[in-house]
Amino acid sequence: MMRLAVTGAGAWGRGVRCAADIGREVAHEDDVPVPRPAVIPKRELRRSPNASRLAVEVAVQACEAAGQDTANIRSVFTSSLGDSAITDYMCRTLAGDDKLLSPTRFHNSVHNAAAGCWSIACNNPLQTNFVASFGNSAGLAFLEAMTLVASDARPTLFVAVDVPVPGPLASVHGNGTTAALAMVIDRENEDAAPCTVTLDASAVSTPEDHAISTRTLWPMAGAQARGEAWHGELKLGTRSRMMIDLETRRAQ
Amino acid sequence: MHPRSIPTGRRTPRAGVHAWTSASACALGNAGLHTALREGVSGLTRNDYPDSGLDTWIGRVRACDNHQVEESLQHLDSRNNRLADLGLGLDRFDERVAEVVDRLGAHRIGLIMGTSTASIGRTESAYAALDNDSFAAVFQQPEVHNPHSVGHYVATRLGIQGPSMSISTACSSSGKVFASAARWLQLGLVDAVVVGGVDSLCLSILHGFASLELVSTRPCRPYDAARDGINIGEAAAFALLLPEDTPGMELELKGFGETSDAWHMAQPHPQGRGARDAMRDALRGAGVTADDIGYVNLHGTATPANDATEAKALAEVFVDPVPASSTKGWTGHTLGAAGIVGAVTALDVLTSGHVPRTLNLDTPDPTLSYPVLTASTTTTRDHVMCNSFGFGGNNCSLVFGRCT
Repeated sequence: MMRLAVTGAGAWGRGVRCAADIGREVAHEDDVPVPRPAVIPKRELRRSPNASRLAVEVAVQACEAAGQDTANIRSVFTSSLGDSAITDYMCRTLAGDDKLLSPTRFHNSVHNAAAGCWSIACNNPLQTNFVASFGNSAGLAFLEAMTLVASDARPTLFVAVDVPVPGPLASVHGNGTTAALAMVIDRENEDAAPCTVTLDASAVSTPEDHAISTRTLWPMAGAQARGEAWHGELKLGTRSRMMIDLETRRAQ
Repeated sequence: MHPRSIPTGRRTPRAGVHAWTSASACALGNAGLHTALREGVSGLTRNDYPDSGLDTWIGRVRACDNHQVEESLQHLDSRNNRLADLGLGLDRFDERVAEVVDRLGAHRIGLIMGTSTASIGRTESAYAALDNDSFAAVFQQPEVHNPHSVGHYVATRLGIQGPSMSISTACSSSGKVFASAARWLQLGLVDAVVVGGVDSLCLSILHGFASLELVSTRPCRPYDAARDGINIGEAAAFALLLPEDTPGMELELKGFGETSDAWHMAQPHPQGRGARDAMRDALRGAGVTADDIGYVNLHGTATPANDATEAKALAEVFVDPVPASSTKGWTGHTLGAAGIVGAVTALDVLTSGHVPRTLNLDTPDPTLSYPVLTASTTTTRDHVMCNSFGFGGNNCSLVFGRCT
């Protein structure tokens, strides 16, 4: 069992522009607008993939909510499938006779593209990571961020982004949707609601909609932003489960 | 799991290295790697990867071409997973893991794989054989067409039931697996971690690096005045890590550094700032000084920019130069597997004392600020370092040493 704190959250998705909107979506949107985070210079914004813009937007939101300097926090990014739009572009191009790839789209095809974009935009020299575990990706990334906090008691940024699955890939993974969330994880402290994380050897199932593992922690970000309690169970392995208990925020 | 609260001010996590192996273009297994390094036998050959049509050299694992995954895992078939399977069978690695699984319980073993390509080569094949803009039946493999493909395969193949994830930070991926595993062990999340790195040849990588004009038409020449780019390689390498206080351990991960350049997606920081800080953090974590290091396995890709900036970083960290070489001339640049391929090479130096030279380095670049080895040598020091740096400005440096 470990006790920690979640000190800020950010989110972006259908009818959601910040973490407090989660669970209170006012209108259903078919198309989610792509955010334009102010920390990315305008000339870079056009070249930045949607997944990177989403990641940086929610990361900045979470840091602002936590009062955390964006230039001085470690980060763990995740995505169930990575940037499917770029995967689709690469594979379509390579299936043709003319296999000339765009160098910009190639370097953005690495799964840590959003993490790189974040560190560059915020001039942040601390470590970033990208971890994935298919439908369990959000849980493993949360665990990874938590172990960083546990190793030296300094805060860590957790960022999860899933984007719609285009073209032929959707025949394997379904269409997905846009869902981006971020949380700042820190050691337990008096100003934040306690959060208890417990691991055991129980078998639980992978979410059926494996293309959007971000959804597994989606309600937690909403609860954190509103100071509400939340309980969730996430699969980490065939016989490995993580239980998260977020308590109600204490009265100030 | 033992209850733990988050401590403050703990020292750097360490991990005992219980077993390891690798499959690369130059050798299958530890003895073969040692012989290849000692005798200077490269695995690089002229590019013959199907349908790629590029004038370059590659590090292709020929034994992978006809290797099959076992019947019960056919639904997870891909070249990357075949390569992983090939590697698991070397040096009895899978049997060593099975012994630990039996002793500790499958749920107490974790898995962390580093990869940049995952099974993208399989996804490319699916796109080349579309059926009505959908994947054909044989390619309907959801567990294969995602970044965790090789992690899922290896966990399934080894029967690991604890936490399982893949790290994908481009060419530093399988350096960082060691750092994450050491943290998992320190916290007691698991009692052992299988770490690895697997990347395989595919069109995305060959044509992607060609689009950046970073591939050489000749065997790569790290740190040479005439170096003009990388050779893409493929490899699978694994290590079995146990808690640092496990009796009988001879070698351990002592320190690591993970940093970001915060500079450019595809170019290293011009002064090698992130690389320098990763090396300094790794030394500090290990509690050693630069003079304690007997060998540095360099990232040394043979691009003009990588080698120039890595040399600048080295010159700042190792004011009195220590033996350092790039072994990309044996294996090619194995990308997401490069971190652990370098680690396995550094472990060979620790166990044998033989320090490999830099293959294909004929005319050291006089403008580089650090002298790398042009001839092999020996060392008796107790510590070695290896570097891996990736796109996105993602850096990792590891220090291994003898247990004291």
